[in-house]
Amino acid sequence: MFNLLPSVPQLLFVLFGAMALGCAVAMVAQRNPLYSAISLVGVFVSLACLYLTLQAPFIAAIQVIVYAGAIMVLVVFVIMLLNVEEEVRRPLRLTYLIPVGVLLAAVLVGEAAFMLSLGSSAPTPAQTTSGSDVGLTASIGTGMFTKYLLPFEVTSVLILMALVGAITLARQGRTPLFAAPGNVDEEPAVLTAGGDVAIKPGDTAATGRAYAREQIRSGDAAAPSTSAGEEER
Amino acid sequence: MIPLTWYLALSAVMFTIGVVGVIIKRNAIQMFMCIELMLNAVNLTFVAFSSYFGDVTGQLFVFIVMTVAAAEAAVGLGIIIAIFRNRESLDVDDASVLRL
Amino acid sequence: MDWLSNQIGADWARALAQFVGINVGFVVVLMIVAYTVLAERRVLGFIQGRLGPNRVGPGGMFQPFADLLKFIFKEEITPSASTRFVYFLAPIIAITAALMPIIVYPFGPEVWLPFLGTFPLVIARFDIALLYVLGITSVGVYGVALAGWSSNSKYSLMGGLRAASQMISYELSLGLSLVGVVLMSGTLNLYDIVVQQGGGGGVLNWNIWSFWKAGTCPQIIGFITYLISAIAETNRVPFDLPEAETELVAGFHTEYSALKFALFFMAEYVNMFTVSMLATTLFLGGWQGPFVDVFPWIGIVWFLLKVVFFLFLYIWLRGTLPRFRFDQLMNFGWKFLLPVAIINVILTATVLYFRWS
Repeated sequence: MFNLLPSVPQLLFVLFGAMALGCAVAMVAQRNPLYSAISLVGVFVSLACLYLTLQAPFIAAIQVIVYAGAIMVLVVFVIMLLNVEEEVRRPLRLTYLIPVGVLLAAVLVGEAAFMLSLGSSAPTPAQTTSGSDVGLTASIGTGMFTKYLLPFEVTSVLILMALVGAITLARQGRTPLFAAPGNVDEEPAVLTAGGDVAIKPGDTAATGRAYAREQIRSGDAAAPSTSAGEEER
Repeated sequence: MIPLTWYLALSAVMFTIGVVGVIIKRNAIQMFMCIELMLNAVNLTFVAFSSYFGDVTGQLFVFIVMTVAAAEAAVGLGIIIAIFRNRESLDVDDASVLRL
Repeated sequence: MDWLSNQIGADWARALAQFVGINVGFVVVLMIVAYTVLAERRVLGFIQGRLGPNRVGPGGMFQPFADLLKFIFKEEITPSASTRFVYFLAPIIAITAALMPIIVYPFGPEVWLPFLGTFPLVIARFDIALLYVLGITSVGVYGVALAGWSSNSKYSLMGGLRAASQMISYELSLGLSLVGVVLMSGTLNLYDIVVQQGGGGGVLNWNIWSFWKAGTCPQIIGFITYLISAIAETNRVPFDLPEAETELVAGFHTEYSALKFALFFMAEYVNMFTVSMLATTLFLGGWQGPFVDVFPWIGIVWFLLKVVFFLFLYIWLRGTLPRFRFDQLMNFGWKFLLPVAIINVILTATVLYFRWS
């Protein structure tokens, strides 16, 4: 009975590959940016499962932690705070480009299929040897701290640069960079609620998001600080 | 077992979907997400080759690509928020002229 | 697994054993969570000088079932806004991300089970178990953020964003506080970490105070950092501003009713349970204790005792401490706890270097 099924690795590849492609197409086809973001999280998770089938468990875990768990959370935050609306569909002006596009796409697919069929005389996959421990944490750690130590250190400097850049970009113009003695208890401007004059009971989330947008847009640190003072309970 | 070309084909298709997304989309955040999709397709290629040749270099490079993508996400989203502050819209077609 | 492997092949035997283990673990976790809810209400009552619910059954033992019936029969109110898909997706993500990590925790040592031979009491042993737990915890943030957004209410949005930013801030110190343990054990496999804490009468080699073996350093700072980060991660008092009753109605789950609210509620308590299990596994030696090598089944008892101690600690803190204001919370997480976790890593690495050389 168990021989009629395709082998389990092939089944897993088809399942996760289909999921990745489906979520990728959904991401491009959606107009609502939040649904795009959720589809992209689906792509990342199915790619992590594909890495597991390729016997790279460390990279799979790092993919979930970094991409799905940190980068996409940041993107979802930005979408929620900026209240990004759906795209309005504009009519296509250069309609003669559609058949040209289809023709060129067919040429591309033909080329890719030809190249891939050439490559089917690839070397025997090393993943069949169950003794190989390439994907395990120990081998990655060994490689990273002996042979590839310089890229690792340069990457840490890169993250420091990104940290400084992101803080500088997100700082609103008039907030002081170092806390003067009176500024310690200022709440972050965007996440303030209650005690403000901008939001009243009975407002919907649209007003809340509009308030958040205005906070970002005005770059004014004076208004939130007074409301932070009022909110001391 | 699964031939290597299956993984490469999947990665190529995902990369193409990402390129199509970058060209089609007008929203800055959605374009950014399509760029992340392209980076992930390339990561899949790296990991597939690393697994099939038994070399850990591919996975180390994926690690570094992920780190660079995280740094790019942080700074890129900061820039998007800064643009939004000035223009109140995330449409890149409207932002293509250097004029407020 | 010999008899079963001979019947249907080794792979299918292992898959079947894991499937049965997952079901058993699922039921056990749900029962423990139900009784944790009851225990919280009773213990909070005793702290506050009153009795908790004690009518339904002797001492209130069947109260969780009454609560479950109430949740099932409540009216489902759905907001009429267009984000209905996300509204239904959020509690699913929350409860799935809360339940997924339970497969990696070792409940006991190798015991002899009928049909299976000697079998370690852990559902899945793999090389990156600790990273798996951290990854699933990172994905659990989506449940909170999407719930706050899709409810189309200002309280929910603010509560959801605050909860999500609190969770991602304390994830960093959570992960870093575990690096000390990983340095000592040299593996991310939770079962091996527990096995390495054996010997010494079952108590002396726990990671929190182990100093007698060659490559160890007591992880007291790491333990306290982990505990504080875990309480913040699960949105419990004193870090529960996002769902505080007097501040934001109920935060991100204001607009959820009946069964979807029950899913969020359960997800919070399962998170508490998961985090307690991780603390016992990494710092208090998991199932290690006196007499484990003589009688392996007593490992489960020690494990449950330690987990119950942590749950009691959660409930005790809830009854005792006031809550942080949100900016105090973020300041504490980024400016105090993260540097302390990094200092713990540096200290542990230094001590281990000098003890190994």
